[in-house]
Amino acid sequence: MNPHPGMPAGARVGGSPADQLEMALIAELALDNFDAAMRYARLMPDELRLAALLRIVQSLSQSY
Amino acid sequence: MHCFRAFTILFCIVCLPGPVVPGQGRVVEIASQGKDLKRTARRLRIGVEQLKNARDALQEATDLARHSLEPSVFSQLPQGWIRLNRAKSPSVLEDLFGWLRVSVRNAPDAQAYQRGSSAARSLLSSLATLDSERAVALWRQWPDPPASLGDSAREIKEQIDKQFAEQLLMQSGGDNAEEALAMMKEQASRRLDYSRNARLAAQLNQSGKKAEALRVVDQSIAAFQQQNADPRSISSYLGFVRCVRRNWRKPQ
Repeated sequence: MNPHPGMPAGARVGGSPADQLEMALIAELALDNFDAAMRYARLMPDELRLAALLRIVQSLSQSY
Repeated sequence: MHCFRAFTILFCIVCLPGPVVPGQGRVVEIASQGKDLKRTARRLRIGVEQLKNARDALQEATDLARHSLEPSVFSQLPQGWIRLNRAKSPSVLEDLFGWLRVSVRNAPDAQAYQRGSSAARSLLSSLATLDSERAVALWRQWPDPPASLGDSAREIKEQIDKQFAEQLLMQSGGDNAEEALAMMKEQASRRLDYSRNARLAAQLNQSGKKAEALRVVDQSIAAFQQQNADPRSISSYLGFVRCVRRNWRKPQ
């Protein structure tokens, strides 16, 4: 089941399991400290940064 | 006298235009944006600050996406825009489409052309949920592959044309049927595809255009009679016959 309604499941970009874990952590961090998460994401290479930003968007647009 | 003064003051308050405040239009615009923000946040059941942050991240991702031709990104971004900032999404999506169009015009190989075209198809499928006529009009502007890429790239374009029309047809419960049918008719006139013709005829029949549907069926039958029979076309024609039979079966 897609955990993020309105968005397709799973970003295709941003390869390895370690990258995926890192992006999931950044997306969680964005909920508590958006500026810190964005600062961290901006240090990543372009392709991973794009995937990380999309994960942040997904995470923030989810209701709890 | 007092009465006259009171009348004059009242007249000034009611009839004279208020002082022109510089930037008043901007104040109204900001107020309207604030309302939109609150409304969207309520719809998504998230806080206003959280929505603002999500929009900032989405804007940054959109700017970054211009360096990527990844189709999955171009399916996520439009959906994010439509969900988080519906008012701004048509202009953002058109802007991205324009960028994709420029980037495939000089595609170095068929693969790059395919990636760009798939990304554009994803983008316009999302735009079609807002404005299907505009999405179709933009797709018609999609460039053909450069001649140097050969026939394989032209086949890719035809394939993606077909996918876009079919996707449009299935989207939003057939609300986009008119645009999709027009595209499918154009495609049918360019290249013979029995299964597509069968679906087109079925759609025309369902939307009450029986004479037009029968014309598509007749044209397909006539084309098959003139064609050299090879296993692929026979199998495709068999699918066409089954589909037509299913859709024109008389009620028991």
